[in-house]
Amino acid sequence: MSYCVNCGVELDPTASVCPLCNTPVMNPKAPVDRESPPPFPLVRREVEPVDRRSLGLLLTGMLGAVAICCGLLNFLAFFPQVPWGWYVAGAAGLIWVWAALPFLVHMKFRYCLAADLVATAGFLALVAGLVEGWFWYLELALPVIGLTSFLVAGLAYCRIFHRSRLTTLLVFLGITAVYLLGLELVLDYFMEGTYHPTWSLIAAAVILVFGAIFLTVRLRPRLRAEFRRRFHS
Amino acid sequence: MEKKIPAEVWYPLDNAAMVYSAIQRDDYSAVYRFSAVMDEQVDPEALQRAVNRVMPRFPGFQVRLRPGVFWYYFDGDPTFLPQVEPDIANPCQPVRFSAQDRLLRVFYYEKRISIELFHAMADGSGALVFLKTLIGEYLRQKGIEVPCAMGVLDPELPPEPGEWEDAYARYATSRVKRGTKGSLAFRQKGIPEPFYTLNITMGIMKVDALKAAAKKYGATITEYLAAGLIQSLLALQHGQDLARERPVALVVPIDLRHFFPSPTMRNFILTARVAIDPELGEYAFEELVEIVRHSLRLQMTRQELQARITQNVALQKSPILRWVPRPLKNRAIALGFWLSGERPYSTTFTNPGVFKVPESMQEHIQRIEVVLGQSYRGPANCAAISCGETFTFSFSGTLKECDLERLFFRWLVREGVPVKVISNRKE
Repeated sequence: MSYCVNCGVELDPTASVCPLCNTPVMNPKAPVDRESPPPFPLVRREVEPVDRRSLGLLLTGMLGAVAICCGLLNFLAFFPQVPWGWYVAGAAGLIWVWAALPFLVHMKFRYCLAADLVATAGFLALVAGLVEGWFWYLELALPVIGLTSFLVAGLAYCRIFHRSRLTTLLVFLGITAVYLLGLELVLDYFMEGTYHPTWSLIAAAVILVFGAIFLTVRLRPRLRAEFRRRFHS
Repeated sequence: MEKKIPAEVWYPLDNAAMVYSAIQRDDYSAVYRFSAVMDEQVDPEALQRAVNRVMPRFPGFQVRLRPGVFWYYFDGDPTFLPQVEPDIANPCQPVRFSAQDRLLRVFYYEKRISIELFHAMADGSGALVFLKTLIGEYLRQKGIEVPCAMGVLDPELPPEPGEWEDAYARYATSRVKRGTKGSLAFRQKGIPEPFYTLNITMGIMKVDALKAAAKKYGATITEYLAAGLIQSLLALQHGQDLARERPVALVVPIDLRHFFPSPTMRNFILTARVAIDPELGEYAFEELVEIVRHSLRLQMTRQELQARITQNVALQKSPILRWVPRPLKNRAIALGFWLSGERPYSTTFTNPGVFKVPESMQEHIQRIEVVLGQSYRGPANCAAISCGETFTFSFSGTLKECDLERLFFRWLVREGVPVKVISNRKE
């Protein structure tokens, strides 16, 4: 029998390293037994995936039924001159993409996000088409959707790559500043046709100051430890 | 004698089962495993015959978990006989409550016979009765005479009604209700293994050596090991150089049958919380043992436990909660469990005690093992059991690191307890 020189525990004859500290077994008197079966089996079994398709299909059926029923009621009975059924159908489609599609199709998060944004843009396009409001759609709705996607993508990046809390905060502050500047730009051009940044500049300046402080803390481990000590709650 | 159970039999879930069924997720497996390591290679055909003979004696295990409108319930299925299957490297996989996925599994590997149970069906005490009866019947199939005594049930006899009673409901009669409180505890962190990997590290010791070591501190084996575990967790946290150290707390299941007589094989447990706050200063090991002993004994009084049972059952019978649809209720229960059953604890330590069986069985069993399923975020859970002269202590978790295991077993070796370590980790 072999013992780990670091841990002092007896090892299984089939073990080539100590399971506790990974120290290799080197015992000329009792070489590793490579013939006998190990103490635990080696064959893995994959866990049965959760069946989410049935929930997706249920949602699809419910949303489809709502859209079709409202469409029929609209065109056959209630106010056929006002196409309100299209709004309901569009909203059902939007909810379907947001809520049911991820259950039906296994997609990566970025594709889900892209589909959600496309669906939102599509729903707003439907509304714009019905109320003949293409000007606000192109000048306001689409740029705001674009900016929002930028914001969400930045946050998702931090979540996906498991960044530290401080890094996440820095990314959040950075993209919030850009978002606010972009939002004022879009609003100014839409309402006045010119760009006079005011409130977004103030917000961005405040964010910049805090961002600089957090960045300094992020880059200096000793400062980080000092902050943790002083601000622990 | 009539043994067949009517097909329309169903069981409402007991108090603990409601929680376990609500919290079952991919990253929380309320499945645990007991294994018996025999003295020779397992014969799967004899084992299957034994399973087929034993199962009708346990109608509470011949069930499926079905979703009701307000609660899950157990749907009796007298035709269900688990198929004995070769063991796998990643045990205690979460259950799905589907028609195919059953709540009881039986495995074999070399000399090891393993059963896995979803915790909603039974606690460790009930599962051990099943394991004893199964092993007894397996040995009979191999031509060995085994008497039906010391927890080995006779598969020929019909099940007794009291064996499947909801004992919580019976003893929820206290005038006072009492809940549990606990602040956020230290949790071991590390790199998670790929889904679904359960790392098991098991220490095998001699009972006498462990008893002698515990006796030095005037402690029982459970108190001694719990104190050792707390000491290892304290050292682990101390090594992380945190600005503020959180309390280290163990959750220790208590078998209520010792306080409230019941023949039930369903869940009948509560938990005790043993906590040490490292912010108060350094603790000598003797002090840890004292705190563990007094803390456990203070919580393990009949009156205290009955007040807690009454509180839990009152929640279950609350008119508001009862009429909330199950999906909403499940989320509320899962949140409540996370806040009061997960965050205040560093790890679980369970010791179902001594696996006592008739002498003719004992000589064919080398040791008994117990492994707990994965908890949220995967820090190692601990379980121990003894059989004859052999004591096993297992860690099971989904973190790549095994710092806690290393600290704990090295401490035992320093204490003069020889430990043999086996693991399913990839070398």
